[in-house]
Amino acid sequence: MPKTGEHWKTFLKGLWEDNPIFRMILGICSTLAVTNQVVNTLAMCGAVVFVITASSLIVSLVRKITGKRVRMAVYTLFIAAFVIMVDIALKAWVPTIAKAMGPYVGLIITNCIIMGRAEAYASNNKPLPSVLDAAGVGLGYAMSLLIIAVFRELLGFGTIAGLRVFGPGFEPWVIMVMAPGAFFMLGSYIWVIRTIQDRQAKRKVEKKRRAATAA
Amino acid sequence: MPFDKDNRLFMVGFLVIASLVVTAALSALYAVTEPIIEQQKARLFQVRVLEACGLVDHGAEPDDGEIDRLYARIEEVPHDDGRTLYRAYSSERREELIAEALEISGSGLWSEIRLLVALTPDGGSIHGLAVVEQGETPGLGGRITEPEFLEKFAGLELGAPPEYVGIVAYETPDAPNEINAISGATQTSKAVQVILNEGLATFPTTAQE
Repeated sequence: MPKTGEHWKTFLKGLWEDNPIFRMILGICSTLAVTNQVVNTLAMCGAVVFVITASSLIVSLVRKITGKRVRMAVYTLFIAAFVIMVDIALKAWVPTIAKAMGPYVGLIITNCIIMGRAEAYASNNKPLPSVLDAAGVGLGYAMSLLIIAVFRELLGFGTIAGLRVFGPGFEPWVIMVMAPGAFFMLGSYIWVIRTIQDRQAKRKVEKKRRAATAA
Repeated sequence: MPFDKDNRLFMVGFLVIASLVVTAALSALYAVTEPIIEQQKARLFQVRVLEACGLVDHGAEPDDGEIDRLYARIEEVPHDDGRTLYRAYSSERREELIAEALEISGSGLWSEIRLLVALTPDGGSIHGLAVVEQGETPGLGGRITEPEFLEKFAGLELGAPPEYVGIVAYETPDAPNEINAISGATQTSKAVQVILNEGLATFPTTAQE
């Protein structure tokens, strides 16, 4: 039985070290598609965090009775069920957001991050660590999307979550809210984060080397 | 016999039972939320009627109270062919008619497009247009729902039938009944033109002529 610290590490891994967007480069289509407005992005992130956590929990619970050959079918079944639940809930309570997100809610089913966590982690681990792992990766995805969305909406509309930030003299960069803007923004984001991570890694190596020579 | 999860019969049974459980759960959820979803849809439709009649700006999101207040100016009149004619008045007393709207539909490039088109009382020009439902490519044909496109129809004069309106691509609109197509969405724009021209021919005010 791993200690609490281990669980915490599992959770944090998805946020930084194994972040799905800038480390694993998974789930990119939804990142490009729904990040032009913060409100829609929030709905998408909430939906993904819910679906990934719930499906990882179920997959982990039934891992001992899931046959090898039907495991993919089982994951898809549960993931699809949770996505449909989210879709119904959005349509019933926030129809304008449901309309704005259009086909992308249904496409969460094909989000490779979710299937990836089910196959790589939840299918071989106990429910608690599986949920933490899924929540970490889900929130890591959400964090990346929100950062991208804030910049795109700010530059493209001059607003954040619909609130005006720049004065009326601001000329919106229309390209930022269109598809090419998503590519520019995602590319720059991955570049900046990877540079920071590389520096971190170098510093670690340096420290180890110094410790070794001192000894 | 020891338990074997990879036993063929067990796997099939497991999958069937899991599917049944999931289906039952989803059906229950659907049954509970269906009336709410229907109600939301009806609300959204009312907003579209108000948009077509120019009582609400395109893209504005009026709250329920606002919708009820404005919708009091709309009179729903059954049309001969089973459709409903929406008559919009300048006030709740329903004295001065400002527009008459009718739902029309037809096929777009990928999907059925449902529109609400409102004409001025004399039937001479379009008062407003709203999109009820469409499933065109997001970012291309899907842009027919954007205010920038829909606002072009307000006050557009109707031409001689059967070419009531022209949505032109690759050339500048030069007649009073013409507007520009959406760049990158010529097919969807042309579909809207066809739906409008066919639909307007069935309009009570234009059909009388």
